[in-house]
Amino acid sequence: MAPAAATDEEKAKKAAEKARRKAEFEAKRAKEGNPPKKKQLSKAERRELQEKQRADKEAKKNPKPKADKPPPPPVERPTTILGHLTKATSSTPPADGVPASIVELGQKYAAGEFDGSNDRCRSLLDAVRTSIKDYAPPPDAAAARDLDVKLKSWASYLEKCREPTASTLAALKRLRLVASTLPPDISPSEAQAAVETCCDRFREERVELAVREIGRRGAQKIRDGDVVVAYGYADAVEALFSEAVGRNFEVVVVDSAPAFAGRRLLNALYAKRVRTTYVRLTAAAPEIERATLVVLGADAVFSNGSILARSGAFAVAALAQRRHVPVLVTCEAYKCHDRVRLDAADANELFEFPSSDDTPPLTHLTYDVTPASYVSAVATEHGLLPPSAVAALIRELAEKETA
Amino acid sequence: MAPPACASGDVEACFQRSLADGTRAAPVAAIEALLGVIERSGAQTMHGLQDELCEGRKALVEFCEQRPACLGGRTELGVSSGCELFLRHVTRTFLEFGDFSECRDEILRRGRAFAAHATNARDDIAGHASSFLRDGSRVLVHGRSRVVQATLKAAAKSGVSLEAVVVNGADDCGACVAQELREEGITTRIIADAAVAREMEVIDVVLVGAEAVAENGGVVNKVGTLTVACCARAMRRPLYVAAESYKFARAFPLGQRDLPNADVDYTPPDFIELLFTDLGVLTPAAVSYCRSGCTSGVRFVSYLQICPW
Repeated sequence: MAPAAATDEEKAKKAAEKARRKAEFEAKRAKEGNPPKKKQLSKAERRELQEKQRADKEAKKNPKPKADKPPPPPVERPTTILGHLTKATSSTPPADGVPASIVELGQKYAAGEFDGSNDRCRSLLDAVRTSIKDYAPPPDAAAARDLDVKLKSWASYLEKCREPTASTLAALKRLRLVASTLPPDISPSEAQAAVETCCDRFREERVELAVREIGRRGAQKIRDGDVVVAYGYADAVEALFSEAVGRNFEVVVVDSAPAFAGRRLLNALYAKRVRTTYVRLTAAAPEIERATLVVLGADAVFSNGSILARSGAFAVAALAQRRHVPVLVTCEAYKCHDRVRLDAADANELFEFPSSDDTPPLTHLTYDVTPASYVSAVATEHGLLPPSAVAALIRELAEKETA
Repeated sequence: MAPPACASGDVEACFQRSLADGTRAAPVAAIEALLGVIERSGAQTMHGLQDELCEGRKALVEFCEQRPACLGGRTELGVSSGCELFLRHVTRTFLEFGDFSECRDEILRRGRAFAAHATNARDDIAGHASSFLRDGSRVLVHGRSRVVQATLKAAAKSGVSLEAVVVNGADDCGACVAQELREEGITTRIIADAAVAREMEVIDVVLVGAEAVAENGGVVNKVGTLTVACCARAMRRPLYVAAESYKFARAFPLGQRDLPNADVDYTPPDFIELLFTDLGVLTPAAVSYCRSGCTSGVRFVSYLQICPW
């Protein structure tokens, strides 16, 4: 802030100072001589000067290029295309409130036991049957309601251990339906008996009887002189060949890593003295070309007629189709699943080969999906169906369930 | 036409009498013969009656396997599936009625109604097929199906001008068929079976009958049908099958290997465009729905009322 009033004395002092500075400056200028006038530049020279100034301005604007960074080190990323799939063997989840036999079963599932669909279902029914013996509802809950809740918790525990198959889903669905339709005032012992009966009936009717019946019907399709190709192992396929023993036919068992399930079928056929050849999938093409019938097992059949089976089944079906060899797929009706599957990538089980530091990690898709157009007929215990009729069968069975 | 009296004589004689006038289809005649068995039967229980009917069916099928002249060159497949259908119907009626004599009367009543309906089946089929036979189209015909002949005759009567091209094989049956079509005023040409592929370029529609319709919608018919079907598929011409619903057999051939004899061949469902039946116009896939509908009593039939225009 400027002083409010400057005294006369100060004013005079300032003026004197100013005059002195001016005199000094003028003297200096006179000494140096007047600075030369600005040179009159020509148009071209002016232009040149202008360009130079512009370039300097640009250079000032653009930041200096930084020194090159070294390239980032390659990051180890797992293949993401199968990233949504779970591995077959994983650590078992904590078990609280789940009975010991279910926990034990879950551990076995996680360890890779009971690999086949029917075996998975049988073991499940056994475990449920054992667990239900010790079943006691809490004192304040009705048996029927509590039972359904328990079954659901056991089911979800097992699902955490290993991806469920269509067979286990069907068994649990049936058990839960029975549990939920029990009269509300039923006693615990009656409820136990109902569940036990359900397990026994399901196993006897939907699994064992179905396998025998499919074997019987399927065997009618084997003619004298047939060369029948089978892939892997299925209970119904073994039953089919057992029924046909005595006729003049030959079997080619096609097998593949990692499970080598075909060896089980090979041993069964050998014991029955059926003429059998054993080949790996990689060498199967010439055998399939001379075949007259291909028989495949299935882990599930879907509404659109496509088949879920072990990896390699699709390849066998495709090779068969090239030569118009009929493909018969055996599938118990309880594995007919009300879904539409188009390919194997959206949901599957990953199998990891044991690896070491020297070998790269190898994974393998456990299942593949064979489209309906590659399948000539589906053999169920209700008869032979074209793949297009599977949806109708599913609907019919569902109506019977709720009836 | 009233069914001939089958009160006396054995089942084969009854069967032959029914076929004498040449208009009845063999499966219908077989069912009438089995009705005669029921009328003559002295059984007092359902089980006894069922046994007699099974015996009758067996006798008829064995008779037909010897290829008697009354069948006109056809095989026993139609008779076998017709009898099986009737027997299944009888069993279902048994479950509905408790009293034996009531049940027996009901079976006779239904059986006669079925036989009467069956004679109208050809007219129903002709009606369904008529929308697919356009004016001026050339129709390739193979075999001597009376259903096909009835269809073409009905179309001609309704004013559609057709040209029929009849395939003639070694047994010369094409000549008989051509003769009958000409009598109805249909322009007819005969070609040799070897010339089917050459002819297919100018054909609009292929129409055949069936001895039996398989569970997957494929058909078993006179040998040569598959040849015609392959040519039709290669040249992208529709193949239509005209067959009554009592020919739907409980058979699922996986190929030619599953056929009983060499006089017939099996045409898979992907060669067939549509089937004209008394139940309606069906796609081959709908045939398996029909079958499950018939056995469980629930109708899944997906009718396909297609407009060809």
